[in-house]
Amino acid sequence: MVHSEDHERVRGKMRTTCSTAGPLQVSVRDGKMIRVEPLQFDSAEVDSWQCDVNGKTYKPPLTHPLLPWGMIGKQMAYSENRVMYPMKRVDWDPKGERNTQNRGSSGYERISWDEAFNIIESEMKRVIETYGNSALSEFYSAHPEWGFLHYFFSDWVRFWDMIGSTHIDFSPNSWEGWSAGSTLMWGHWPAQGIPAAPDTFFDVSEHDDLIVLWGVDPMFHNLYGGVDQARLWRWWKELGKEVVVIEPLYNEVALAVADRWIPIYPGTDGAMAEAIAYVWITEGTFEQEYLDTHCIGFDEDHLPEGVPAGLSFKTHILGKGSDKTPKTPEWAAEKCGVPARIIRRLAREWAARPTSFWVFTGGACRRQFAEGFTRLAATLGMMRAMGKPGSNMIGPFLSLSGPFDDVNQIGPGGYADGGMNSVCKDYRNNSVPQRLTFQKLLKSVEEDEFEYFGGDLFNTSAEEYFNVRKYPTDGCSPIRLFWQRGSSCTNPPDRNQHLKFLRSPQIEAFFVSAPWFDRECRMADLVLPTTTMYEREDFTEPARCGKYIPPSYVGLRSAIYHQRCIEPIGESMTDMDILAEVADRFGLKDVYLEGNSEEDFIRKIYANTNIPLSFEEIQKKGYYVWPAPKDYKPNKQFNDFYHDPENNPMPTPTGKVEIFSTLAWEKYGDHPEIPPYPKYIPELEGAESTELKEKYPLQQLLAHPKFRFHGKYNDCTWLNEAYKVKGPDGYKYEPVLIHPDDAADRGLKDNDIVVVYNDRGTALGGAVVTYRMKKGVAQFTYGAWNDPLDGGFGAPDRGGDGQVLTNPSPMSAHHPTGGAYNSSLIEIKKADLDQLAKDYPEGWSGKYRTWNKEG
Amino acid sequence: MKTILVDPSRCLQCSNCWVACKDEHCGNDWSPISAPQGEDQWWIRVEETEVASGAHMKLHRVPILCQHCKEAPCMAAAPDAVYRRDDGLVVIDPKQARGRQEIFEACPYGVVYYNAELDLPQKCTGCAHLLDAGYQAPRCVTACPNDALAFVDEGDLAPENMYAPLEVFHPEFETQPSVAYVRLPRIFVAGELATQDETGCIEDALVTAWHQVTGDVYEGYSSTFGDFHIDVEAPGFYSVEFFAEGFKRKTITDIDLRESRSLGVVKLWPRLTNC
Repeated sequence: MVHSEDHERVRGKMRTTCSTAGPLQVSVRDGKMIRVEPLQFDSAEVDSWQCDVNGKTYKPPLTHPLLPWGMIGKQMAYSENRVMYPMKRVDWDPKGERNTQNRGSSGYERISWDEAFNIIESEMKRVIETYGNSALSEFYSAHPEWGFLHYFFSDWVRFWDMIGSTHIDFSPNSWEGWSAGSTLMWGHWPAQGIPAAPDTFFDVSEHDDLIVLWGVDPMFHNLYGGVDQARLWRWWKELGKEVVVIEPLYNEVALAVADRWIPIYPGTDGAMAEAIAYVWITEGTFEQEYLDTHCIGFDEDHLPEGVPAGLSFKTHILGKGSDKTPKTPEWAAEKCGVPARIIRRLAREWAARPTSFWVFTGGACRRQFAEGFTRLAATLGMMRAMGKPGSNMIGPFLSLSGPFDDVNQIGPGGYADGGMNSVCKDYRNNSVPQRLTFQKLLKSVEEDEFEYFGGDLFNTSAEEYFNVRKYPTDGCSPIRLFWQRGSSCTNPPDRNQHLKFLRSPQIEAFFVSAPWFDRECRMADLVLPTTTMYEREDFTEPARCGKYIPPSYVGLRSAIYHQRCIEPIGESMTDMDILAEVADRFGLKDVYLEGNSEEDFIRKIYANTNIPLSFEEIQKKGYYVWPAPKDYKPNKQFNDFYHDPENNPMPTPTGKVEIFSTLAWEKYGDHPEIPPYPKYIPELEGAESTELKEKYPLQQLLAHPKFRFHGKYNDCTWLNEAYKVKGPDGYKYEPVLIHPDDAADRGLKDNDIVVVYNDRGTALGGAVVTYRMKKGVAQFTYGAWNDPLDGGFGAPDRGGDGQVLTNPSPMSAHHPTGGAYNSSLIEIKKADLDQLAKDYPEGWSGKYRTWNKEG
Repeated sequence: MKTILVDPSRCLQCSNCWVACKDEHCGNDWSPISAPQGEDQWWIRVEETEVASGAHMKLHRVPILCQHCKEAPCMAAAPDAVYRRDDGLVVIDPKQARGRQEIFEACPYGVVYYNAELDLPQKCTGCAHLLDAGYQAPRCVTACPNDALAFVDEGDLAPENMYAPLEVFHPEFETQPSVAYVRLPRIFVAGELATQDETGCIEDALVTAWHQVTGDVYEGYSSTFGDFHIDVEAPGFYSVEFFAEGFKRKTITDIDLRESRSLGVVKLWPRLTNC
């Protein structure tokens, strides 16, 4: 028997770190990573929590289940697409011609860090002197490497607030319809319309009999928690829970555990929701008393004073309102493509059995008039007396966790909890009042001034939401310098329009700092190499986002010390070190760091925890697992409100859940796009757009990619060889899922390379013909690295990023910032690759691909 | 001796098994057990097959890796270059096997790959180098988030210990695999039952499928929305009968179940109670 002998050599030296896919243990030998594994706890050191129901027990696993990109670290850390050293676009001369029109086409030259810092310093100072601080602007990718100290809420916001600059905001684009819609009903403005769901795990496990997932796929899209729900769903199935999935795609949780997949046309969810309410109302199977005491506006008897008759939800559903149309299952079936008998049956089962309703976030809320669906979904929740045992509403992520009491489990916190700012003595607030949402970037270079409202990711109240923002803000300048932390600005819709912004001469300088050269790096004037989480130290909690949202994974609660696994690749630096150097050139280094090193910060962060190990011990061991909280008493979502609404009012003007929104009524009256009561409104570009559908008959589905973290790791061959479609030219095309009938209508078969297009853009993909798609819908998702054949002026994107097709329109009159992303009609045809190669010889040979540094 | 137990019904095609395998073997030389894994090799892969149609389609996902056969054709093809360890793992000696195409060609499971660069046949080693170094399980097993892969004592694979009957993947190859399977995908007939006017779902109907030649019978009941899904053992032509209280019995014959099939919406006439 042959044995390998040098076991030390095989094992290497063990290090720990944590990723967006979950916590990791990394084997290192001779300064190189040889292995990346999921972190595995020793049963002897774990005092696990568990949940017992009907004699069956759920216990979280000792090995943390990772998302697909968890173990690709070796390929990614040592990728040829790393930014190895600072680079400058060859024809960008900060002292002369800037050639902003060549962003995306010209190549890059290596420069030293010293040269890079000199350019940054002189450009920032020039812009400040010429236009003022408001002409500086900063933005960040919402999907960076995992971190607490090394995260944009730490190093980035501290630096830019200290300097003073225009902050480019995100909207809460993962759940935009909830932030714009359900806030009108139950407030929760700081949580952007999504009420916390503590202890829902226990409520579902102990009380629910039916689980309805509507437009969500928690198996792979539970954000940072890994595939931690796989065993949990099996356990729920063993307990006899029935699972129904409503989605245009037969999604992963449906494939794994669902009893029934209900395919639906995208954007028609509101019609189906109205029909469910119709069944409950006409059959008297809803919680009337709860609605009477906890809500306003469900029926005519509970409209606020002074409101004309006929504006209640019940009146609308029964067809006694202005449209004179009862919202029967037959009426809805015509619109949403779900047979009336299925809608009726679902409504009856839902009414008869304790039901967990998974609907927060999801694709159905990133659409035109999505406020309608989110308010309708929340109304269904109210009709089931949300807060009652077994009656809960959650989403695929940030919703479900094991026991957590925040008293005995004090770690560093989540990435949004401040990082270095949580331990610094002082914080300098931004001196620039101007802010701009990322959805108005193009407008900012095309129009001299404009106004909008609709809040942003840091919204805390209705007042802030309705507050009109003027751009430029009085006394401020339009932005002239744009620095982005990370290579992708989180997938803005209608990418070619975003590129137009990035090519604008008004943006005199565009810097990107990123570990990998891809996507927006290709547009930058200056590219700065940053480290991955393998190359720096940090201290984090897996899957913990922040105190604004409860902990969100059903694993063993732990904290991870990121032991540096390898030295920084190339000349990469941490963002913090880069920004400290820039601060130094402004005489602000001591203000920025307050004299702390990376280790000093982590020591201080650690000192704020309740972990009973010395700093040296945790540094050496790499992790800590909290014991199960003793005598844990769950207090589930809406429990207090359910029992005593008077003393636990909702953060709304009336303290009730406002099915009739007093805010919407006050501001808009009976507005067709944002009526005071929840209502299904057909999209301008969607299932019911008969005219546009003659040209673009298919609806585009933009669900999260399974094997990418949004736009990251597109180049990982360990993953992409399994999911991309290899063309006859050897190029790996992004998959386009299409129903067999739709494929047949277009003469398409599996693995054909296709052109996907609409008026906004064109992209290539590889056909995957499958019954997993509802007929009339094609999934063409986002985040593939762009490879525009002409540099991004409208020619096909060979890389296949679905965002070249998506809709940048406003959600509605109530949410004019944007948010209609997924309301996108497309057509698909077979690609003529030879012709494309002839038409775009330079593009075809790779000149403009966003991972080409040479140009 | 330990081996790997595979439960395809739990597989999510999450990629963790094959990524862990590539992480372990790409760029790492674990001689004398294995040379670095070559490009485009899948020592463990997940074979996905879409079957049936409409909303009753299924994606069958089967993890496939070296079966570490007791009658291994690769060993027979090159007894001097392929050997079985005491722990049962079949290993291709990366030195002795150089240039030996016949090892690659011998495997009926298609899990031996040929590394053109090293001129070497390569395959799963069961992470023998890690087990020797004290690891408790091969990388793919540790990485699996849903217990589709388990590392078990062969002695524990007795029918009385099992949650499902043990199966052999491709028994017709007659190689006596060590790797064991449960719940391999079956051919099935599926669909949904509705009232003749399609206004109602028919729950709790008894659905019986029988092989028209052997007479083998398989049964199930329709669920909440009238859905039925009946697995059968042998391919062939089947008859399916639907029986629900208050409805006329219906039989559909000559259903071609040489592969899985959906019957779509099957409608039943109500039985008139007054006559």
